[in-house]
Amino acid sequence: MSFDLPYHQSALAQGTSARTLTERSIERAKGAVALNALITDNFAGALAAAEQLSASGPLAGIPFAHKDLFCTQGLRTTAASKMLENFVPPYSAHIVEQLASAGALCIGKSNMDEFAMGSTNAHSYFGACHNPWDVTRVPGGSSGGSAALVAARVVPFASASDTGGSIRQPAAFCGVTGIKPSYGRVSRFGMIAYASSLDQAGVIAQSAADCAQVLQVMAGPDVRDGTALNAAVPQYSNTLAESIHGRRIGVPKSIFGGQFPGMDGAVLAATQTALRELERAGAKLVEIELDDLQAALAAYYIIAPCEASSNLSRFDGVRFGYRTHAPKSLYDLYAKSRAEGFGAEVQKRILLGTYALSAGYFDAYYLRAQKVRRLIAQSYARAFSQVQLIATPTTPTTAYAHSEVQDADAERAGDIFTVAVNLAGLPAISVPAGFVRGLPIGLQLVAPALHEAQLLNVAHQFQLLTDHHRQTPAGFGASR
Amino acid sequence: VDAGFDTSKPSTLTSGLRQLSNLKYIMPNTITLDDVRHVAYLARLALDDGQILQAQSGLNAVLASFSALAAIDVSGVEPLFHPAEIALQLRTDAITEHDQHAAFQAIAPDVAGQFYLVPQVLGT
Repeated sequence: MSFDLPYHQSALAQGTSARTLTERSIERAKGAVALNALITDNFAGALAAAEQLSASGPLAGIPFAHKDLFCTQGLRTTAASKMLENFVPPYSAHIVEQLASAGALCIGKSNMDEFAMGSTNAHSYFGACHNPWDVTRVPGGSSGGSAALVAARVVPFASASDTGGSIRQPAAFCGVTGIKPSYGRVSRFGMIAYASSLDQAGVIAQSAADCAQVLQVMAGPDVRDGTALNAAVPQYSNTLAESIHGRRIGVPKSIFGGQFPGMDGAVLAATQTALRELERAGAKLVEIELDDLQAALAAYYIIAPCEASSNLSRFDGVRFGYRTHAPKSLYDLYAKSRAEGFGAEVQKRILLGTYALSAGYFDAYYLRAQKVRRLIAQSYARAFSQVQLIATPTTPTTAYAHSEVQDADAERAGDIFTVAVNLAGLPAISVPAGFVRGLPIGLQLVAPALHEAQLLNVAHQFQLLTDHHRQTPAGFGASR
Repeated sequence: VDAGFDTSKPSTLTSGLRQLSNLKYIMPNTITLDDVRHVAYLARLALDDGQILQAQSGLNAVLASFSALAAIDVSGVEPLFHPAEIALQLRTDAITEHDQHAAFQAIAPDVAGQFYLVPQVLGT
């Protein structure tokens, strides 16, 4: 049993009740509790919803988890922060409503890096999450809990968000499939903001075909998010089976030339093996130039903290969230509530953003970074005049050991292949592409804006030829 | 690192001074402890001396990594503030929100009636 979407859907079609499927998922969640992948469970709520299920929606009766970044009315939403430890939202995020209307049953809220800031899930007030493939290693982040839950076969899919790689990197580290849609393809309403011009909601599941079904439910216009694109959503599942014969896939010389700084040679070799599978499916690999990745990383680590410093100013201890005890003044109330409520990484990014936006430094950092951002977008546009997709490794290495995560520079450097995609607002998917020293790696495919259907099609064709996405970490298979 | 000096044009005192002041903009600065204290004040974060010191080293490490930006020629490039350069959506000018103050106040740390309570500001 693979515990993917088709498994659940065929069980329901054969008469298994939604309650039974939910109970099985809850049982697997309890068996995987050592991963620390859930911050808050919603077992009772999911079972009650299963009992009352009347909808015949596309995901009716399917258990899943929400990243704890999405507001769920009446269910605690923490963003993995002490600041929101007791926050029960008075409303639900757009995608929470969409998935509920489709009949999906949320069994809990998944662990993450605090306010989605991090690539390890180590920056969580509720403790680190562990990688099901090796519990001494990180699951990646920030959507580490969502990726770990899908990898451990607790749920067939989980919602996630991606500001600089937070869907794709944990998907790669945990051997599952994760799609970050184009900026604006999915409403951000009710998703706690990190960096508003980069944040995008998406899906982590076992396969591209499963991602297609879930994204179908999440994507589309929403008047409550002024940046949600008012564009029709194609039927993603309808084009999965299309042949990719003759499809032109760009491979950046700067990466595949073999001299990329920090690139693990074994990860690169495994990625090249995966590319040969795409060739076997008929795709044509074309060398392209994509040389601005180091600059993209620097631009990202200016732009994202700048936006974060503004977005997180709303957490002031007045209207909701954590408040310090016995403040002496209004300033004291703000400053102590924020110093005590935010973790170290979040404070660091707020300080960095505040510095970069302050008088005298705005031009040097923020404005310059935004100009580099345009150059990066133009670089992608040039590449897409020659090819239909771009392929890269999702990450330069496999999952780090917990003991390695103190190195902030290395953690940032691990985002090198993912952040540029967010700067340009493009859609990208990470698919399991093999194993290096027993740990999964991901192949990232990037497409022009709103070409998610093409990403899913190519990823699906790749998964018809490979079984990396079918591999289950020891101890989390069908016997449990 | 290109410090922003344009050697293709004749220098004048004004442009020279501007270019000198540009040095500060192009070269990643080293943050002093006073800078960190000021930024922490602006960011409304009450940090103790140990945290200020820690923040200083963390921020300087990040700023050093920004040198990759200084090497890129951005002359004549317009900033891209948003990936989807689209006009914001318009909607019908009609009331869509209803009064939820009771729900919002229920999750506030300290309220009285319809007010949020904070330490006294005036007359202290």
